[in-house]
Amino acid sequence: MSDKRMNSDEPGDPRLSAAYREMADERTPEHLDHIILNAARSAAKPRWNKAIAWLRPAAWVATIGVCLAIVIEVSLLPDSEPTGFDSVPPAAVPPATTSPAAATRFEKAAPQATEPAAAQAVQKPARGPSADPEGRSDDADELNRQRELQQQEAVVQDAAPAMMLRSAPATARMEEALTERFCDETETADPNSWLECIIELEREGLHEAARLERERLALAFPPPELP
Amino acid sequence: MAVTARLLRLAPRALSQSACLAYAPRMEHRPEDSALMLRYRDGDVAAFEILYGRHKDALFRYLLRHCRQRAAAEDVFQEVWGKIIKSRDNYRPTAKFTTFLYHVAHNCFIDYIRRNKRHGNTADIEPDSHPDSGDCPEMLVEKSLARRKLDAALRSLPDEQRDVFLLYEEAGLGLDEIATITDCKRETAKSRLRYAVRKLRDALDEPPETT
Repeated sequence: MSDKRMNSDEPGDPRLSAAYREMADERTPEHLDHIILNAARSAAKPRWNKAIAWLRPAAWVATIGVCLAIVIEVSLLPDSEPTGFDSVPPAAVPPATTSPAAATRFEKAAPQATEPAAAQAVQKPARGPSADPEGRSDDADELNRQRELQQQEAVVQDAAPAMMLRSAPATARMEEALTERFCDETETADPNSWLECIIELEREGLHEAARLERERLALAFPPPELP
Repeated sequence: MAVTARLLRLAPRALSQSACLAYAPRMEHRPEDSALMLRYRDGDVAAFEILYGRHKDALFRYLLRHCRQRAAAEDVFQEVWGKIIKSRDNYRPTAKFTTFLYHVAHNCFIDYIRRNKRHGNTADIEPDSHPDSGDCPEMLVEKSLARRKLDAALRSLPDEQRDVFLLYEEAGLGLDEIATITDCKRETAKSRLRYAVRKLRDALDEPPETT
């Protein structure tokens, strides 16, 4: 009994309380305990579990989907996919540092840019006087030639970045040539057929390719060590 | 008279043995009840188990004395705890948890009376406890007689007086809290308790009927 009750004017009777305690000894049935505690446990579960019950399977599906997409993408990639600058077609390489006008000139000059423009410039003046059947060499012609030379120099200067960019694919092509297989898999399966392929390459004049294939043959089928 | 005197002499020992559990919630852990309920509100089931363990027996006896039938008391008992569980989200520790619990129980019992017009039917409540092996046959008989007398006296009380007495004895509530639960003034609750105690004491002091 609390102190508050003992000190108050409440009309309790200790004798009666003791007698009641002696009498009141009933206990809660165990099956009620189970029922109520189970209800309390089920009610205490977070309610958002039901709201986001779809989240876990959705996460699994998304993960599996992404993995499948990556696998399919990787499997669809070609084996000899060129890398680096070769993946960009030469015509699509923009002149990075030129103006729009220069870009237009670049598009016109790009097919010729692989050849040295200066050589053309040198050939033209040389061809000029000889093309003149009358042998005239007046000042107007001279001025026209100088103007053409200046234009060609401008074209060469504008095309220089593109040529630099295009030199990178050429290097890549050389590297690719080093790793390129000149004999197919059926020929390289057998050392004899591989050797025949190398001889055929040498007959065709592809000595560098023959040399590469010979090295590969030596790596794949090393010669037996002499005792 | 002799039976009552013997019973009163045995009371301290009985208190030390069995009534400790019944009194334990009143003495030490009362302030923690609200905290336990708040923990349960936050999802801590273990807190509810502690809370339930503290109050279940007293509440069951309160309902058993009111309903007079074990099955009905069990139904109302489930209903009360079901409401406590449901109301956990809205629980605010503005009052003692015991007041809240017995307020719910009081209302559930009133609903039970309204649902069952045959509440007047009485049935003897069989005790759960088994007699101690150390008790001699005379004492067992005396206890049984005292139990029957007190039980009969409790049943004979008006519902309001019995309610106040049970709230006072089982729940350990004060007059203010009893008045809150029974929706009456403090003086009314005090008057009801005084009448109930007087009647029960008179019933215990009555000499046993000789047949």
